[in-house]
Amino acid sequence: MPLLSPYRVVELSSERTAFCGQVLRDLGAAVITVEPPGGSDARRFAPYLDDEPDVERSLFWWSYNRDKRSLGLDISQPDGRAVLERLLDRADFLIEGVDPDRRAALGLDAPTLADRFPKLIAASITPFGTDGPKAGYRGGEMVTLAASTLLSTWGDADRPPVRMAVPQAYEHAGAEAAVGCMVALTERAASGLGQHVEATAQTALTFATQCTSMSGLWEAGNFFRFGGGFKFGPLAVRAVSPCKDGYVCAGLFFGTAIGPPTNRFMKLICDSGFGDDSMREKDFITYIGPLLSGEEPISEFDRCQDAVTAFCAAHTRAEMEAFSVEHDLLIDAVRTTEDLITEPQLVAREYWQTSEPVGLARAIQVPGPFAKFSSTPLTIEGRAPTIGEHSTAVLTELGFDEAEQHDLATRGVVEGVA
Amino acid sequence: MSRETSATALAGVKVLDTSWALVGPAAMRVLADFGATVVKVESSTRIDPVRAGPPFWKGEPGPERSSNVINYNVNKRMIQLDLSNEQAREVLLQLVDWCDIAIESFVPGVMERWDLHDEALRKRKPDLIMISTCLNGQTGPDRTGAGYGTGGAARAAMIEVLGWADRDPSLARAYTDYTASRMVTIAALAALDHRRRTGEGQYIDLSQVEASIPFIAPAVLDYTVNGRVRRRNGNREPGAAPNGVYPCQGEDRWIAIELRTQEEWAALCGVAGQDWESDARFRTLADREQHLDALDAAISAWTADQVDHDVESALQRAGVPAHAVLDSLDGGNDAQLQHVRHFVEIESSDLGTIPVERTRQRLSRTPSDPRWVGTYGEDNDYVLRELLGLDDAAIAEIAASGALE
Repeated sequence: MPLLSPYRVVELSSERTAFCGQVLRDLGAAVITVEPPGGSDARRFAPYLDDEPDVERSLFWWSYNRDKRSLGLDISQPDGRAVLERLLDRADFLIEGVDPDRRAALGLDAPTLADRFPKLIAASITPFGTDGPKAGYRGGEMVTLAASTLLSTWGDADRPPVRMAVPQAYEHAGAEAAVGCMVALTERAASGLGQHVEATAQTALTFATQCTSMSGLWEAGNFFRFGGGFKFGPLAVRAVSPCKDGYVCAGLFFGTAIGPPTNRFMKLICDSGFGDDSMREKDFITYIGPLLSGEEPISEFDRCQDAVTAFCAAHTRAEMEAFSVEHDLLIDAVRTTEDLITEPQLVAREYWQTSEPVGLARAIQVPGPFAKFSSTPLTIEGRAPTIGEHSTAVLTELGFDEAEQHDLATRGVVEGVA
Repeated sequence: MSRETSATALAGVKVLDTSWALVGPAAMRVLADFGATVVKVESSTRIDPVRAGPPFWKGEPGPERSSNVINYNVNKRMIQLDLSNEQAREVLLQLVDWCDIAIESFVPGVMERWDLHDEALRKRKPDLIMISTCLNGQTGPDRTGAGYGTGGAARAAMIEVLGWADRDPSLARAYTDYTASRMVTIAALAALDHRRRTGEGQYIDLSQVEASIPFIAPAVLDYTVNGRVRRRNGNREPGAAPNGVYPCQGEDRWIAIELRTQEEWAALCGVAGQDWESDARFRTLADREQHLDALDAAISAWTADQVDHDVESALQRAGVPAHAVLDSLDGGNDAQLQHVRHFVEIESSDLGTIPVERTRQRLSRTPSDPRWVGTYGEDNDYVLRELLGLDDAAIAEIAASGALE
């Protein structure tokens, strides 16, 4: 039995909740995703099947709603909220991303939930939080990346900061919320009580800065973006280089752990005729000291980096990774999404799973479980639901008879009832 | 230094953390912040690589001054064990007997060499939850590849999609350390709950690349469904226009703006005092997406001589998603991060009172409570004496063997 199979999750579906709900689903929890009339906003994100925008064709939706059940329900209507309450009576988790100014009206503010559903673990995923000076701010990917300081560290020095071409904000925030849900679940086993769990895109992305967001508080100086690398004081360290057939991550790094492979890399470069004897003599374990003190001119380090660039440009990605294995270096080729599908490592580990989405006559490959559990392996079974695909089944489970379901559907309270 | 935390959520949970660098330590710090007892094993014979990583306290490099170590080892008990020493491995086995969850992040093969691999440990303690986390996983042709999160981002197709279409890719530093670390924490606690209910332990093999690919799943599906290989594309996002970063007054100051609805567009035009709504190029989302360069130029001309925070306030008041692009020095001054106490001060044995990040989960009843960060081997005595119940003679013998280095 999968890990979380005893537990039930109610998700008020949105862009914000999708990833978190998917994590809990992948772990085996039963997830009912509640969609407003017309379907979740998570169905309105590109890319789309054949690039035709449609609520049943969003690949964002397909990605993060596998094996969830969909209930079409208008919780802005009192009867809709009554259905939601019946769902929550049986639920262990609520995952929602409702804006702070709408929470109380929907009965979703933390005190109301705690009073009415004392065992419920209720997770909120918002851009900035349910309270505080920016709680009312509108924001998605760009806004929260900007507010986290992460965006300022990405891109080229001579251009504006730049984002990743795949949304990240609510993936990070959703993962943090899932962590919070697991902490609260562990705690509930002792106390018998649920609680409110908050995660925000701003703080989740701030964590991903690798501590540079603390630079001001640490009086450590600003951290500037620098194309294909990072800037540390006077040093501009390049880490991504073009090679014959793409790019590789191959740089000159310092310290006791990463210095030794750098020394081996420099030796290889010199042995191959791309560097000279003075480069060969550098000891990258301690090299940062003289560079920062000024004893060694930065231009000398840049000369070494130029040798790296020339060496990479003369080889393919496969050749560079073969060097890495042979000489125990830290070189990784930059993969594309196309490369991932045939990546021998992922294929050998049977990472890719198949899914058969509605509207497509063939099975597609989708990412598999995020970890291998020896006693309770995770399985990815199916596909994302259509709007209200499970409305009838869910309402029946809740005890609504056919006439009641028909009545709710007629009044626009539920969607998808057969 | 006090080792008191008021956190209770995970009180009684015992964790043995032999991981290094970022993924494992950051994942286990969350448990420590919520009250678990986490014993962090380090060795002076094998210095953690991130001790060389900036930012450093007050900008001065030093292995005790790296945020990459301080920030991810809060509330832990620090013990030094040189696992190449047999006595040290004996202590480690006693810690295995003591703990609920053990985590390691050695290159696959190292634990086998020491006979500390999952099979041996779970034979000794069948209900152990053992986590191995490395770049590529414990099996497969690339299993022994040593790695770090920049290489992980390369392997997970994340670097390929970061940057400008006409330029080489940018770099997200050790990005997959951050995507993967949450999945480690989730896996550990889900397995702990399973054990509580069933008594069954398990081994968790977490490849940082595999745990990170879900973060770009829509781009993967774009390939497996549409056959399109996603490339970096600047700040362009289908379905949103304007969507980008625009210059403001001052050096390297910017405002991020992202619009999906017509209402937001009308509001932005109102704030800007511009007649863009009647400009045929900018009327609808489809129009704007057809004229992105002209749109970006128009927005930039409007923002260029304004103060970033003023534009942010004016646009947000009108319901337009916008935010100043905070730089690394701005983080500590952000009013919302201050409100949620994202940065808190703790006591460091090496550095005194210092700010660190808090865990990102706010729990209403049983919040996290980060308090301290220790230094090398500072809790040796506590761990050996209080947790393992060893006496003076036994501890002296272990120390004399060189195990505690």
